[in-house]
Amino acid sequence: MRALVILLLATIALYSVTIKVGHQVVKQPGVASFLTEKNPPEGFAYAIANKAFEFPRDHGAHPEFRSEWWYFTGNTLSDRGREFGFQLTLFRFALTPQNAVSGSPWRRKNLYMGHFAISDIDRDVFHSFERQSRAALNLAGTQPDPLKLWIRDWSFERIDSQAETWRLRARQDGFEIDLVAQAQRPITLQGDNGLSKKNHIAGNASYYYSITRLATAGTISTPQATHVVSGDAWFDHEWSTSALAEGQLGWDWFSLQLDDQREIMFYQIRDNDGRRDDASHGVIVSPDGGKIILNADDLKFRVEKYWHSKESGARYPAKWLIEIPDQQLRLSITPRISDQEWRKNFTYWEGSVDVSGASNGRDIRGKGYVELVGYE
Amino acid sequence: MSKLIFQSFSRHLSKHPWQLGLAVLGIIVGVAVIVAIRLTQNSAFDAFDTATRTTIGSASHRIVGTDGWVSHATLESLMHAFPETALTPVLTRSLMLPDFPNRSVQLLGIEPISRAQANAGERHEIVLFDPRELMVSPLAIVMNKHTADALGVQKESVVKVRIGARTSEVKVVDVLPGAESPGGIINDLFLADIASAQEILSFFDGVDHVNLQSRDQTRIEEIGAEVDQRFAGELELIDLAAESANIKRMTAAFYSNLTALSLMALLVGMFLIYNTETFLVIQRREIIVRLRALGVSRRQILCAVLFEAGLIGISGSIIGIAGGVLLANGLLGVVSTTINDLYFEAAITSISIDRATVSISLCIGVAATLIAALIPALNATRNEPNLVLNRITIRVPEARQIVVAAAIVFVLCNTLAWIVLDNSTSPNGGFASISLIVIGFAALCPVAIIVLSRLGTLLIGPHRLLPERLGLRTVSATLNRTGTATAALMIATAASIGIGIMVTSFRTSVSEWLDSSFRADLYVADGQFDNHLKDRKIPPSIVQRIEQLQEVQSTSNVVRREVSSGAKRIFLSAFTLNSIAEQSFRFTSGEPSKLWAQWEADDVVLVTEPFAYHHGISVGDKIPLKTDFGEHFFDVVGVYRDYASERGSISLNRKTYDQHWRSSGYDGLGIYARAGTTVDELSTAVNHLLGEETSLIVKSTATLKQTSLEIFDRTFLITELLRAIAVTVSFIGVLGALLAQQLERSREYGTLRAIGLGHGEINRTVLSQTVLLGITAAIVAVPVGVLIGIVLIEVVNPRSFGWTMNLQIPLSLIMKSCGVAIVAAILAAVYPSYRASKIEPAVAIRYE
Repeated sequence: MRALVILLLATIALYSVTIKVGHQVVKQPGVASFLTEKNPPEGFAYAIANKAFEFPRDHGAHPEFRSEWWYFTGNTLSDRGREFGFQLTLFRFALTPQNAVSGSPWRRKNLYMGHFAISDIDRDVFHSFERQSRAALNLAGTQPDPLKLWIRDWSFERIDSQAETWRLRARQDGFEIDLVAQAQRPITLQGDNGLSKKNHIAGNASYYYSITRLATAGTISTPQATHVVSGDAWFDHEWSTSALAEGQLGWDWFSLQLDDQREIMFYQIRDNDGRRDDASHGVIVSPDGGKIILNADDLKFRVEKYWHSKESGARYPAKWLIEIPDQQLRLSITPRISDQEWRKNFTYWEGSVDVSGASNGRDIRGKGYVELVGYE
Repeated sequence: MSKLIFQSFSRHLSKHPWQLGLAVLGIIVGVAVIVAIRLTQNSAFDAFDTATRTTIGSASHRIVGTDGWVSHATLESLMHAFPETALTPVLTRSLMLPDFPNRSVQLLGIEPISRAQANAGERHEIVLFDPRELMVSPLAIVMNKHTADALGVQKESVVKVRIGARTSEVKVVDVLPGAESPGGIINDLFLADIASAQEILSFFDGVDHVNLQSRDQTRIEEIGAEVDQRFAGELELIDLAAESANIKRMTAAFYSNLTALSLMALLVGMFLIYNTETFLVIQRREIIVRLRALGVSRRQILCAVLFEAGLIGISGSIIGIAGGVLLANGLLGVVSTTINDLYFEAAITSISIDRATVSISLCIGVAATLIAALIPALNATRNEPNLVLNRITIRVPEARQIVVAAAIVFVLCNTLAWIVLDNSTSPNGGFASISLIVIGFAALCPVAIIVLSRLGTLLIGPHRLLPERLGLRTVSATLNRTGTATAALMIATAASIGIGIMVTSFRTSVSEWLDSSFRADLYVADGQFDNHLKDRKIPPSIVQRIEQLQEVQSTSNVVRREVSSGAKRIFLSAFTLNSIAEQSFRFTSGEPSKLWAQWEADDVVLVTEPFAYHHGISVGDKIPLKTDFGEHFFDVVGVYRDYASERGSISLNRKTYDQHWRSSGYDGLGIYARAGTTVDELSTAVNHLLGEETSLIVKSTATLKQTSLEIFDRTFLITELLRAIAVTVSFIGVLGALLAQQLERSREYGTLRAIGLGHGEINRTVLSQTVLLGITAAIVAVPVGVLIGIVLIEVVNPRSFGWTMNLQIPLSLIMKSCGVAIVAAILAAVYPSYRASKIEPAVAIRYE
């Protein structure tokens, strides 16, 4: 009997040493890791001083800086009453300050990443697509005249040399947008005349401007149907070499378009303990383009609800109460779809939101987009 | 009660550890070889998968240029044609390392960004490093730890590489975890960004191919149709999964041959177990009878014997599995080389043990033991409880009964073997019939012993050589003990002869084929054999200049490529032949007198034997090929012998080829010397003409033949090694069995000593017995071995690979194998003789 026990143990031992080769799940560090990079290599330009913006030149790329992005987000309504949010973003990242001399057409310093999303509000689904490419063989890049930015066949094109009118095109797996967006406001320089400081360390800042309302019309298609839509879009363009400092974790960014024709941009940078950084700030833009700067203290901010992503495990705020006492403004902000999480190269939440509240005692409504970065 | 049985049984075993050891040894050998072969196969496939994943990521399809490469202009239009598809360009080449002669590495240039997009969401993505590092520095590479250690380099080191005649330096920017982790990159691989790869190679015109990943069959079909339409004759879409499945299928045939070898080892093991179990049952008959007298039932006895066998089986299997892992590690290098020579380039560096292999081997080991022990166990139950315990006798079957039983088994097994051969089409059918033939002949062993011992006794005559007579007659009187040991020895010897015949025949055929195929005096090819780039082909201008040399009589040439035939990718060679080169084809089907005229005039192809076999093609069939001008059908007019590729290939006239494909230049050139010119003179002239700047390599026919045979020998090294291992251990087992038998009979020898036999005479008795067994095994093994060889050559090889060959029966091999059998038998006599002659007659006969 003892022999049997020994044999049994030996068999078990043999089984336990057999190595079941499992498949590792390895997240590839992609280009998006630039987004939260803290120590960029030397040789890049920094956003330190105020600069004189010049358009349309500054709509184009600033390759002397490490990273840059162009954001179009918007909320639209179809002629049959269906609601769609959309996002089309282009990111540029520079590997090195200069292009190396090489016979290879692939030796290019700029990498591009595109994000394209449609939020199908009525169906409560979020469709997101990502593209990456280096700026080689005309696969991605920017051109000055006529101003165009693209990654493969996703593009922004400034179609009117006199006005801020843009054509946005993107298509993937049966989802497509083809929209023309016409500026309703002058260009808003964010922060200190376009210099947007992310913390008190000099150079941890970006150049940043927005067009806070663009009347948008065109088509949004799903694999099932093409919808003729119209609505309002928001354009942001920002470039920098270094933004976050040590100890800073991520940011919450709000772009809200109120039905009284005012727009509010506000962002807060969170540190590792989840606290709001002093450099957080915002702006209220009035219909004539006049702006009121909002500092961290001007705003009371409360998270009312959280949403837990089953896919990534991250817990995001999912309802906010914002109070701007000086303006007698109280706003409640709710995601129009809970799951508008990007789970590609880089995990973050960016999505369409509803706004409701009161201004000077009167009811007020609106729509917007919120971006939440650095949640786990 | 059962405790009593086990105690009495285990007490017996613990007193006879060498018997126990012998029984276990049989299982250990069989299981170890099975495990080793399965593990090396799994590891080879794992390495292949890792290599595939490293080189293609999770790509499912590939777009290839019909010229073997894709220009940047074409690539750009392709990228714009499919904006929604992530297309990953790849550039790969072999690099020589000037500081490490005889070592080459694979440079793999990838585009990490599009690859990351293609693999986004893939759960098997394997690149563990930050691709930015690779993309930032020019000439940057990463390699795995194993390669870095082998080259003695580390992060930030600089490595010299050579491509053709050019040397450059690459910088190691990172060293990654070894290939043993699935996340690692494979050995001898330099992974680079595509820009660096182009810089290293000084090749800035394009890439090798473009990978893409999609599981959506409709989408793939759309892409395929679009590629066909927009890039007709320029690009082609191929299915990588089908390609790798094909490669795996080929390799599986190679392994099934090895597995058959391991089953042979197990068969020998079973005979050893049968032998030991029979022995144990006979020895313990007293115990069994006593137990029966105490009221133990037959069923309990049967269970006890089988349980014991099961324990032996399990422990033997466990040790066998451990041994198999060790053996597999030992064989790894050999397997790796063979696989690389024949099937795919992958560095197989570690053995990974999987549960399936452990479970299967355990089951096979235990099942084999139980089957082998069944007859002895049933015999054990036949012992009647007999109160007069001293009078127990065992019934030795009469010679006539043995002959009848043997004849029945022999006829049955061999008939069955024929039926199996006739009604199967797979190589496994061949193996099954080999096993049946072996068992059938094994049954003849006891008969052969009787015949030979009688013959021996007759030869000796009634009055001379008493000890020898005594020995011979005892052998046939104890057949139930000696028969199985002889059968085991016979099987080991026969397997050795059979495999030897197959390898010799194969080698002779390959050698003859090489002699007839390589008719030219010199061969010229590009230094990078895997390089199909347009600008790397041998240009027609060089051929013209070579032909103008006064040393040169004539030339022949070939261009090679892959083409699509339906969904398959096949190798095609387009030849310009002269009359001497035409004679180098050895046709197994088709009419040589007619087909050369068709070769000149019509759209015809010749196919190799393996090709005909794998694709079920014969003369008169039509093969569709995707030409640069659409699909076209070609008539098959001949099948010829070719051992160059197991996958097979098709050949056609270069003139015909040029009508259907756009291409220039050659991949290989055969040069024929003018009468009176030596090969050396010719070689000097050609080398002088080619100069030093070219990457073309000139090789003499003798060198090529030698290299080919070296590859052949490397291929069969593993077969030879396994044969040697299996046979050696079998011999040790048989030796042990004989030894055990002789030791058991020490009492008899004591009696003999008591009646006056001297030491020398006892030795002669023992020796004559074992020599008789050895000779019997050898004699029976010769026909069995030849039959195994014939089945391997005529059935298994054609069914596995499509190769036929001429049967060669080397006498020396047969003599050697038989010699080994007899020597093993003689060796088995040494110790028992020594023991027997030491026996004190008084002690020995005290119990009589």
